[in-house]
Amino acid sequence: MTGPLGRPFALPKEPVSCVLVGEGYAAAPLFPLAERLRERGCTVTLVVAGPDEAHLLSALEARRSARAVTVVTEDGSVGRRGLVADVIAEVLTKAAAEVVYAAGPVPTLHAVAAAAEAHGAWSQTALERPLTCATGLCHGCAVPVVGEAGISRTARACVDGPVLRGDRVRWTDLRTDLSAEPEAAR
Amino acid sequence: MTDLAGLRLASPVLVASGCGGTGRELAAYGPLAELGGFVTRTLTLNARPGGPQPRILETPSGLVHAVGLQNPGLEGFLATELPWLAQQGARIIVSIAGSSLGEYAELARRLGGSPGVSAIEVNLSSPDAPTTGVFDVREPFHAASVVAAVHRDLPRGVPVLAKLRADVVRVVESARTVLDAGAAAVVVGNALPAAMPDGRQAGLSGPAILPVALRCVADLRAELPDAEVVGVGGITTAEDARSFLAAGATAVQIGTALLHDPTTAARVAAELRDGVPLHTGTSTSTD
Repeated sequence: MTGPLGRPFALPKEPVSCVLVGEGYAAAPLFPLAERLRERGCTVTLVVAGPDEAHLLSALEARRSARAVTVVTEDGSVGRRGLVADVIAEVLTKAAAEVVYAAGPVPTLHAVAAAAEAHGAWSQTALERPLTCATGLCHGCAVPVVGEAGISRTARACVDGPVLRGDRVRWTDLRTDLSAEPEAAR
Repeated sequence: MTDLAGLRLASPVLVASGCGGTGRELAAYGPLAELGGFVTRTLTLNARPGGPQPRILETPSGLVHAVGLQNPGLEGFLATELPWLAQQGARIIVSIAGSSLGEYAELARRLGGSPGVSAIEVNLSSPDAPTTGVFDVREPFHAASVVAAVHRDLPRGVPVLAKLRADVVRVVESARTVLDAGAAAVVVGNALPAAMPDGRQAGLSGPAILPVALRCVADLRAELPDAEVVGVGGITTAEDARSFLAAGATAVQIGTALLHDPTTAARVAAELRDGVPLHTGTSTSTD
């Protein structure tokens, strides 16, 4: 047994307003994150999303751990109908967000990172990539990023992530790379 | 102690190219200085971002991989990775590939003069070479010209190891040619040429290829009894390592097994050193 591996969500030093966005099962780690943030005096706003009600993590639990909760489903079976991308700008504005945490599929993370940047907030995105070794040895889980001094480089999701700053990830390159993957590997 | 290519190694167990990260990740599981050597992932003159996803997939008893020689380039390696590796007291062997003989020569010149570099391993057998743009060395004649170019530009005392494909049919001919061209030892073998499910060129590594690599080592011992050979291919236990040493290898490299259990190299090295009997201790050889 080896762990913990990689870099987790970084917690703010100051009690700031945080928006947490989770889609599908990837929303699970946001509930304990919300607890940590509240212990630090942060205001927590949650966005929980999924394709439909059956694939949504507990909205009830979400309501316990956050001041405000927005539920979004693609089919509109519960909450608002649509995608995270449709609601995120409005949520960030309403919450006066300073930090945004997100976990979910790459297009959702991309939308959240872009909205955070437009809003002037920091974003932290948890990427889900297929990990072969999970210890940084194999270079299988490459993520194109912009490094220090603006130089493009390739990070590893397992040791440099899985949480990466949303403004560091080269989302367009990552999505191009992923579009070549067979469906099962996505 | 193991003597390989004029170098005295702390152990006959080395880390195979491309399976030890930058070294820092592996050092978390055991001191690199206690291993026989750390072979870097293959460096090219210029940084390479590597290939598209998926890069690595599991196959029965192995991995099929097409990483595309992702590496920080010579400058990046010299600035950010080599100084740290040298501080660890690790025996550093730098794996290189180039797109021309001139690139090989420049890599040899720059690395050969860098403190901490013990040897150069020339990657003559990248299984996806045609798609990565490295000099095509499928013919022994071309491999020999690469080895000669690297050997010529290295200082005395920095040996060239030639990493060959575990191609049972041609391995003796390939080894003879590169040894004549100046290689101090041959490393056999690299991943077997394979394909990803989508048809991309790839390599197959892991326990699936161990018997093939072992056959190559045995053939080399029979045909070229004076050649120094490093055995690599699917080694996961001390028992596997002993098979290669018994077949005539001077040392062994451990690769794919590290991706499953990053303690493998340290464990096998300790087991060979301490002479723990087979099937005891912490070995997973009875799995």
